[in-house]
Amino acid sequence: MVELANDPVAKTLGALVAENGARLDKPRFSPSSLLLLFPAAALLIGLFIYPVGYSVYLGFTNLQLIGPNSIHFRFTGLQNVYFLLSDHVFYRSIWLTLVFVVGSGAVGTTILGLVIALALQSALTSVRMVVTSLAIVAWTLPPAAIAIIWYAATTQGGIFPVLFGYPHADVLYDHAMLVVSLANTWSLAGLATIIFSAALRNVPQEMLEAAKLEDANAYQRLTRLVLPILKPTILTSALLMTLLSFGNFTLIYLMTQGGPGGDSNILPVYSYLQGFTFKKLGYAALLGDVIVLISGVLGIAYVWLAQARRRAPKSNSV
Amino acid sequence: MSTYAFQHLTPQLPSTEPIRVKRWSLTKVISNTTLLVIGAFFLLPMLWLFAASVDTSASWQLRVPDFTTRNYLLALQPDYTRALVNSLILSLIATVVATVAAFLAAYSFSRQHIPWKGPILLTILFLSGVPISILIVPIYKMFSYVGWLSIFPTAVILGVTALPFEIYLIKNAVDAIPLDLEEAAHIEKASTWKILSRIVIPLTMPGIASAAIFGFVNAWGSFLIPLVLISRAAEQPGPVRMYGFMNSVAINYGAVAAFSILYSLPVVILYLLMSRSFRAGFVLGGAVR
Amino acid sequence: MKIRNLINPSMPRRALLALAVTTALGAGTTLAWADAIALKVAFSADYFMSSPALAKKWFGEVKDGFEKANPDVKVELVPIQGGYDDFLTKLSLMYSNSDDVPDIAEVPAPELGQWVASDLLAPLDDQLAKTDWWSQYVEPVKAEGTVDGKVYAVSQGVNTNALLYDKTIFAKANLPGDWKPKTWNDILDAARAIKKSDPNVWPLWVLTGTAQGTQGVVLGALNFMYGSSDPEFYNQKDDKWVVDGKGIREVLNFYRTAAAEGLLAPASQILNANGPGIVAPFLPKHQIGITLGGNYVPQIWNNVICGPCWPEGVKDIGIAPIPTSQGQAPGMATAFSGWSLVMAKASAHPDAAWNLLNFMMQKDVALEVGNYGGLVPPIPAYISEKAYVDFAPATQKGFADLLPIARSAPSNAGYKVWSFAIAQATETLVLHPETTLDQAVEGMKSYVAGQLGDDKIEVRN
Repeated sequence: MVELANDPVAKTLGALVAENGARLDKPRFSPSSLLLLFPAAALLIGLFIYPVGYSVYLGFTNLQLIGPNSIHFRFTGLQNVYFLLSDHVFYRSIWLTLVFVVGSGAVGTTILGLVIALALQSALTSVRMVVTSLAIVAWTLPPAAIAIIWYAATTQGGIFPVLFGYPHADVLYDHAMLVVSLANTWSLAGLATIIFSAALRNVPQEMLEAAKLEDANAYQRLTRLVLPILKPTILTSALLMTLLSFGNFTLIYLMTQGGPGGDSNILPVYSYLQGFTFKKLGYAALLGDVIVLISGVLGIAYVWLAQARRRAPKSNSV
Repeated sequence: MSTYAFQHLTPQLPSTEPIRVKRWSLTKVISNTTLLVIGAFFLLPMLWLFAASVDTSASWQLRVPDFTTRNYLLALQPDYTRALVNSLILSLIATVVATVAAFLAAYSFSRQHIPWKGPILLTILFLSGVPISILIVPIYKMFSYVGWLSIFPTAVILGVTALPFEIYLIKNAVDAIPLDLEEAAHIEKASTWKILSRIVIPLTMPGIASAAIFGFVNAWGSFLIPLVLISRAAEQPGPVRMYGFMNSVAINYGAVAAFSILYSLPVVILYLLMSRSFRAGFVLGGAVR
Repeated sequence: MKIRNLINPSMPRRALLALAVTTALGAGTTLAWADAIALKVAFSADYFMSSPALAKKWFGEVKDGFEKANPDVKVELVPIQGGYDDFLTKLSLMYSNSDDVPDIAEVPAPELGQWVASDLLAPLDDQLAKTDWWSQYVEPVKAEGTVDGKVYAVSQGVNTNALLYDKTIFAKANLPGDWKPKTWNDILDAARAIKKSDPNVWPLWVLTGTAQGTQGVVLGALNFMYGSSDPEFYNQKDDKWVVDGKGIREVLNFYRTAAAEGLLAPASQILNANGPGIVAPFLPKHQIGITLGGNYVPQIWNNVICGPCWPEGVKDIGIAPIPTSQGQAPGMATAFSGWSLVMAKASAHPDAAWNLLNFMMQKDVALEVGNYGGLVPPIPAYISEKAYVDFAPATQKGFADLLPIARSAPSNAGYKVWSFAIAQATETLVLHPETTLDQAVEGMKSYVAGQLGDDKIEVRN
């Protein structure tokens, strides 16, 4: 991570996030900062950075959950990495992970949330109440409940196969990745909706009025005005949904345990399987390290995209 | 900013201008139709949940229920209501701890000169991609070593898992406040505490509220952390206790469904109570603006 | 001496103390009377027993009974909630910290090997030799708790598997009411007849799939593996796993044929993550012709557990042992797995801990576990005990009779991988019967080789 800090991209990221603050009292590090930062820093260093750092280290050990190396484990250098590089399940898993977190998380959930939020703007009150409540309930159900709900909905005699005229289809097993992706989107879209509803309220009304006077139709107003203004929110939502989708792996674990035939075996599920079924905690931790790398790379990609936007159509926001 | 946001909660009045009415109604038709389709996407899978919760012999299959209230009575047995109370305790402590710490840090990150603040913030955020399942091992060893295997320390750790995102969220809200107000207060030699309590907190309330409810939901649905870190079964929250309806040989789907519905109610109520400030406050765009 | 007498509350307190002292001495040492001894007992609160209330009841009674008999000992119950994986995760972590190690714990027997390999458990041979109950255990169950020649775990009871067949469905398909399949083909033939007579009935229920973890294998494919013409899949001498061979191909072919001909219950049911727990309600609806199921299935229908209540069901449901593939000796097969009690090596009070374990194994106490957990007791004589007969359905005897030929799964780390591979292979064949056996075998081979190393696999022919 030190290298990241020296990286020019990261530096501009820093400037980007820091922008507003850096200007108030520019060069000085105020002592009151220490006071303000202390609680969060203490909590994060003690209860987050330390365990995360330790689990990064565990990725290079032979620790087992239970077994000969469960108590007396040791640093094994790159042994886990060599295993990782020759593990064909891992390679397939990377691809599935990207499909899941980017496809269903970043793209699917963001689009669904955005569409709902846009539609809510001109919705009837009753429709708005019902749809919002349903999306919020879906967001707050415990993962075990969501897993059962989607299992029931997508297997033989379930609501989706029946509706689409194939009552005897086991959609979950024929298209496992599709179903778990839908379930993930279903369970996170409520949050995305909330994010976009808030952002839409910040779209200056005068600009919309001005656009109307220029005879722009609803579609033009959306694509030329609203979406460009929302772009930063879209990217931030994508970042957040990516991280939350990584965390939503319990859903897959409970529904398919990565199956059938590894079709829904995303990295967090694979890591769980390695650590808690096969008891290879060290290897599982290394898979966790890969997840951090992927989320870091994706995160930088999103912020970089956002930055690219900043340079170009600045005209919109003035 | 917040008052500005609230203006838009009031419904659009139909304009008298003919062309516009037509356009708006077309948009309206499309919007409502889209919402109904999406609403169906949310509702259809849940039909099973509602049907099973009042069904005498619920199973995986969606079917017309053979009506009973027994499942709800099962889900309201003392063990399960106590789990609900535990969930509330866990989530409230997690929310308060994370939100207070996040607010102070966010203010500092937004307004003060912190070296490397951008990379620090982003690194913390990305590190939250480490799967909980791996994190749980070092945390367990640490908690076990210091004898913290109980509900309160667990609540704190749940708060900490939401902390990176809460900082991010509240920082964006603080960024959105114009600097002039604070500068004026500075000139009048108001203390930092006064500036915070009189100016910054009231203005960022929506952002704080949204971060808080995010933290609450984050703790509310957690399973593995409390399961492993809380040693007394009586202190376990709802998602753990729900396994009382699921074992190796039989699963009481009706009770699982009823419990799930009851379990989502407090959050829906919380959301409705806070929805105004919540929706107005979830401004994330500022991060990259 | 019968320790179970200790729980009789009418006995005078002093006599109880005297008995307790004698018991303690019998175990070889004196207890430190001055200090109160605390014993931790960890157990599965939700998953193992037929309901959480029964787990609470049994362990509560053990605690009360034992504390009464041993006033100097405090028993601290540590119920662990959640499913199978969750239970093991928490228990494993408890063992990783010396302050949290439970003196006595409930461990699923298929996990035992890894606990022993961690050097966490105390061998119990010496103490067991002095009891009057251990010698009555059937050999396969004794072997289940034995690792490298030492006994580390005492079974509370096991699940054996057999074919449960629905007599009403059989009658409709003109199949005998007293069905005795001799080969796997007989099973398929019966399933074909059922399919022909009533297309709405699911002819055959066999579990498979990775979603059920190792449980689904011991309740499914492993039964066929042990009934195949080459049942050995683990070469213990060389520590190699068989990934291709006559036996494995027979098993895979059975699943493949059944799937290709549409004889299996829907994939959503037999591949279901909760597969083992969802079958019981289907039988009262006469939905399944032949069910490969554990003894716990009919037990769920009794009036205490009621999942659903169908105590009269045992009249409609017949039980037939799983035949061997071609009818070869011994003519039947079953895999079994159970739950066992183990004692921590690190226990500060090994004698008191042993006394507690011994207390749990006394007949009256142990019989209840069999009932509450839906288990076949490890001691054949218990089958005819009134306490057991009153609770267990009539089918239980048929399952218990299988014990002498029953085989457990290896309990080392490699087995998890092999078991995952065969679950995956059978799952693939169930979902895609067009897959060839060669492809399925190749999948198993590459998976096991990838996870355990090329030197850990063995190909037979």
